Amino acid sequence: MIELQHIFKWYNVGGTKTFVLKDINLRIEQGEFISIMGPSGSGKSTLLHILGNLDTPDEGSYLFLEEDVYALKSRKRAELFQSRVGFVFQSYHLIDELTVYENIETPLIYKNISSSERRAIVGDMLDRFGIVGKKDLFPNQLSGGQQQIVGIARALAGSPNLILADEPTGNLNSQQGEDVMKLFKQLNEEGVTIVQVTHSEKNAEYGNRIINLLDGQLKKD
Amino acid sequence: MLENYLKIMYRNLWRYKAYSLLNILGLSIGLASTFLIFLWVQHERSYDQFHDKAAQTYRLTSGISKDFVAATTPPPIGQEMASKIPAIKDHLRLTHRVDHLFEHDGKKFEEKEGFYADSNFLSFFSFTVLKGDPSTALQNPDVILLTEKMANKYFGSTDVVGKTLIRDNKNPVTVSAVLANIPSNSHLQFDYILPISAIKDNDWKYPSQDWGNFIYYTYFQLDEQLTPTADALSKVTEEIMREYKTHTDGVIAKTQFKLQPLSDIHLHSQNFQVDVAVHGHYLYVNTLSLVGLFILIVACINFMNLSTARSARRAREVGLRKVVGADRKQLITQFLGESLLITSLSVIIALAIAILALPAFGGLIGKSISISLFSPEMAGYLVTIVIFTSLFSGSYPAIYLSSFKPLLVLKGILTSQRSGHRVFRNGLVVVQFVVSIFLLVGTIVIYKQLEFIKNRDNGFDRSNLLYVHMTGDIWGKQQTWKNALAENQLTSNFTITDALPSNLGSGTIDYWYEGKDPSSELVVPMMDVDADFISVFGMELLAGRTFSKLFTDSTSYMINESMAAVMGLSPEEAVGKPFAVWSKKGTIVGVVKDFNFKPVSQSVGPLMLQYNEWGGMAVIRTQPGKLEATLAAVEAVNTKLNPNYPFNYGFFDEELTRLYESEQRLSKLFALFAGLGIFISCLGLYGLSAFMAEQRFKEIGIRKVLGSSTIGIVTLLTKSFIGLLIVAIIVAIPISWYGAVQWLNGFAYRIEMGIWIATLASAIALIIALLTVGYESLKAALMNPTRSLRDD
Repeated sequence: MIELQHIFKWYNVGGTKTFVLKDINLRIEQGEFISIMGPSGSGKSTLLHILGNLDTPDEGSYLFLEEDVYALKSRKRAELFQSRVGFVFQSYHLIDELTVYENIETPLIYKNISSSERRAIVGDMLDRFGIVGKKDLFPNQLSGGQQQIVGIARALAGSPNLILADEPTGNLNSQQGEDVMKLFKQLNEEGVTIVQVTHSEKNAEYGNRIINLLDGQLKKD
Repeated sequence: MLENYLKIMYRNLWRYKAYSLLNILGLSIGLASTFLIFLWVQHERSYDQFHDKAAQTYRLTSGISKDFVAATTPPPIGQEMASKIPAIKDHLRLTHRVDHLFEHDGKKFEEKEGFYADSNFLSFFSFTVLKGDPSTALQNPDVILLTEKMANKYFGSTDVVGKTLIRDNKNPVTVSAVLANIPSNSHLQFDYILPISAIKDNDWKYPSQDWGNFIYYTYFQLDEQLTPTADALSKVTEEIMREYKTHTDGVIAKTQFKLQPLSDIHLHSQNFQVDVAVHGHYLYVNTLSLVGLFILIVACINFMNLSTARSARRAREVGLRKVVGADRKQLITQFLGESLLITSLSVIIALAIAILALPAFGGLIGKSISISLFSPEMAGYLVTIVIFTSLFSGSYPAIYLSSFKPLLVLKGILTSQRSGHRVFRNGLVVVQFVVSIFLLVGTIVIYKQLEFIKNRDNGFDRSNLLYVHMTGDIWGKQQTWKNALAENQLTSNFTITDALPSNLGSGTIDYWYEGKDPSSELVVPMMDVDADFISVFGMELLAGRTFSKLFTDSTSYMINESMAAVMGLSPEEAVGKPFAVWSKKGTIVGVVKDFNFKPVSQSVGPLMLQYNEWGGMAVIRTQPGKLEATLAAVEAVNTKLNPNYPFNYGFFDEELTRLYESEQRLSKLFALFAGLGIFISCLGLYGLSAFMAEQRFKEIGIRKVLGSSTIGIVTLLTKSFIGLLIVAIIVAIPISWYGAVQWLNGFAYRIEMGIWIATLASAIALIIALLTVGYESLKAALMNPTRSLRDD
């Protein structure tokens, strides 16, 4: 599903290159649940952003669903990722002015889906995550765990093949974190490919493969 | 999708109520100002367009020299040219405005708003006829056309065709038609029209065959087939002049005639002598149009600035929308849509403000204007303004907001720190203040110039001068009247003159002195005054003597200093020199120091005075504080000698003030719109400073903890705004200086454009802006630092 080859990413600081990512080669198959681990500054998030097309490397190639991503024009590239990738963020990043329902609906409105269909999808999500009763609340009326659930529901609303999660439990207490991890496990069992960045050994165990990054390089395990 | 946008817009507006209020309020006030100005400009430009044949109608004007052009023409010219020149299809003559006394059933008034007109008046122009037959209404000499207003005044009804009024206590005139009230956008304003055929041949207004007597207004209608290019028109005027030469000789045969389009009369009649009415001025219309545009731009800039300043709050939303699949076009659509909606809302509020403010605004401009909301023109204008404003004010925020890089935004790094955008936004603030300072300078200059006009030495003492025209029976009892005035100590200080030295209209080229260039085209006005003229007006005699009852002065002349200069003589040398006007030979007995007899837009020119033996009006210098008693005394004299006429009087200084009505209006309008411009700019500045303080909330907290004083923090926050204002001042001063000098050049006597005016305007702008910015800064500086540092 994903194949990264010789990915480099660096910054120029005072004339010398500081590498964030150095020669990353990675294959991820459909249906995997991968945890990326590593200390702060090791390039975990950058790697995740590259996977999700939020960022581009300075060198290297990326095959996503057999397509050579960087050979595509930016428009095509955006289309390729738009409906196939869902993001979950550490600080949820819900839109404050929209209700739970509307937040989940947002990705759908950019996809030319009819309103009745949208209603069905959002209803389905609310149901699946047990937040029907909260659909008219605004993000600031919810606990962190609940907000993250909404965030995951939003990521899934577009029925993506891949979920990219950047420390999804970072702002949550352990109970909430565990709930989210269980949810990921369950989604993975239903066939969704998941890549998560985490600091926590325990959370990483939920995945079926752990990738360790150190100073921008993959550590052989 | 639309629903989603609408909801988020509504919730954003509601959540940041203060910002929304500033935004919508600023835009609404700006739009309301623009509406009002638009209405006024539209009204000024609509003059005389309501006549069916407006496009073919021209007024014939005449000029002896470049400096002396008149709106009047000789009586026979209309008929003659219409018959000789094929391109002229029809003609119409009007006399000067006339003054008659009318009476019906004990109601008696002096009516000053009337004209004598040719019998085709109602077919030539398209005034609405309510009652009566327009084709025959002016056929007979003993008829009168009334407007609705005058008909109601005398008869209490408009259904009065066939009823009679008594004119000047003796002549009955029959109402032949009643017209609807004259639209305010007509250059001809009148209450009644009498037929020219009613003028007696001993009246100076009589339509004689005198080709050198410029006493009539002549209008022509040209052939519809004729395309009115400059060439075609000048061909017609050349024919007129060729024809005119066959009837005249000497200097007068060189008269230059011009065809002035009917629709130009209101705004393009600045220099005409003896014109029908006070006209508008195209420059003022253009200036105010520009001011209207300025205000709109200032309001739009506000909108842009407030919207983009708020961008940090919207940035996350933009980032997220992009992450979940929105492309830039969709985001631009969303934000433009928001600005379209806010603009529409503001337009509705602005309309309400404009409708509420209209009566007051009407008072300010001296005209009543109505808003017809449902006219296609208005609808077109509203749609245009909504689209223009929303695109202009919404485009930058839309482009700016949609440019956020999702990754950076979500990491909390705002692209607003990019200098390009900051420079642009600062530029906008500078533009706002340039406009505000420009308007302020305008306000101060116009105000000072008007003060200057009011207080400058006109060569006479303008205060406490009361004038009373001779009317009715007084003409026959002049000596008794004068004696009666002289007897009473309150009224004894008076003079008889034919005109007030406020705006002398006509003049003559038919004067003679030794050594005069026979081809001279200098037109010199003449006043007929009596012996007390110089002393009553408080003028200064430079040489010789004034007219006097002790001499036989019927062939004596006085001239002013400028006239002596024209003759190449000093005042002393001029005295005793032979002089003649209209071939009446005599000598110069005195030279008076120049005094103003024209608006100060024109410099004092030469003037001739001759001894008044026929009357006109009495000008009485009242003693300070005894005005009431003096008025009562004059009224008693008049009522006794002239019981059939109502007593009318006026004040000379009011007459002078009236000359500057359009300047007074411009002054008030400038002050109003300068105030609004600054207010709107400050709304925006307030919003910006509040936003800046909020953005630097944490920084302020840290600085305070580290020991910065309140003053230090206020300085920190206001510093950047002061820089912007200084840039604005540097840009605004030369621009407004140039504008002010241009405007002042229209006056022969004017104030000097001093550096203090620019300094004052800048200081006002600076102080208001600092107060605005300072308030928010002080609030931020005074807050408890633990509040901003707590949540980390």
